[in-house]
Amino acid sequence: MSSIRDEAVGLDTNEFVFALRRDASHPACETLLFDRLDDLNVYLPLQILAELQRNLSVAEMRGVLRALARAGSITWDYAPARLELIAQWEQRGAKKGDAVIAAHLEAGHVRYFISENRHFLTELSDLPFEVLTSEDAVRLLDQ
Amino acid sequence: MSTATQTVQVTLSLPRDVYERAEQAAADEKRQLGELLNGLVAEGLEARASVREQFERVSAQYRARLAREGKLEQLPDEVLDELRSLREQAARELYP
Repeated sequence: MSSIRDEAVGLDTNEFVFALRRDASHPACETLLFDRLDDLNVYLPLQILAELQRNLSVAEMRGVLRALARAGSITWDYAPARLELIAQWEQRGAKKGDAVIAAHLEAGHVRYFISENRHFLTELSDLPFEVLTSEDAVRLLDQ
Repeated sequence: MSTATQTVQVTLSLPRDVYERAEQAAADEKRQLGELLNGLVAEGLEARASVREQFERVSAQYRARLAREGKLEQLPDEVLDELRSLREQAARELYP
């Protein structure tokens, strides 16, 4: 049986931002990144890297990338998302940015996407990946 | 002055081969030997730190910057809204 420990996991930008803020309303973001990173096979696509670069200073980004290298495994996907997949997701009703993320996850065969945005593509059915909050993810890791 | 910007002088004895490699690396990178050794020690210490310690250091820098920018007290929903806008902006730039 596959589990979150065995599968590739995408991490939304908001996971990093809430963890680094040590946001009291999203404590599981900190737990997931600071304490459980070695349990995760992290997939980081270009779009998330671009968003992180816009949020973090050069030194902060360097620190995050250095810490991420300590994950169970890490896949850096610097390739742009496939345009035809982005178009398909947009046609299904996703906003451009979310369509790019979905295209990356679909092409990378990523099973889980962890996000604090509870509305991420919730209007769409038959997603090829499961959207979890950090709280869900920590709970699954604890099982 | 923060401890990150204060400096302390240290006398270091190195095996000659290690010294020569460091000297060569500094020359290749057009850096002062002391600057190179400083970087190597910092990187070595960082590699020994736990993931939590590494993230905590980044978090402290990040939170200090947000405080200076007046953004540390943003509500979670405001943060999420800002991240949504940023996602669209990044996507438009990467895929015009």
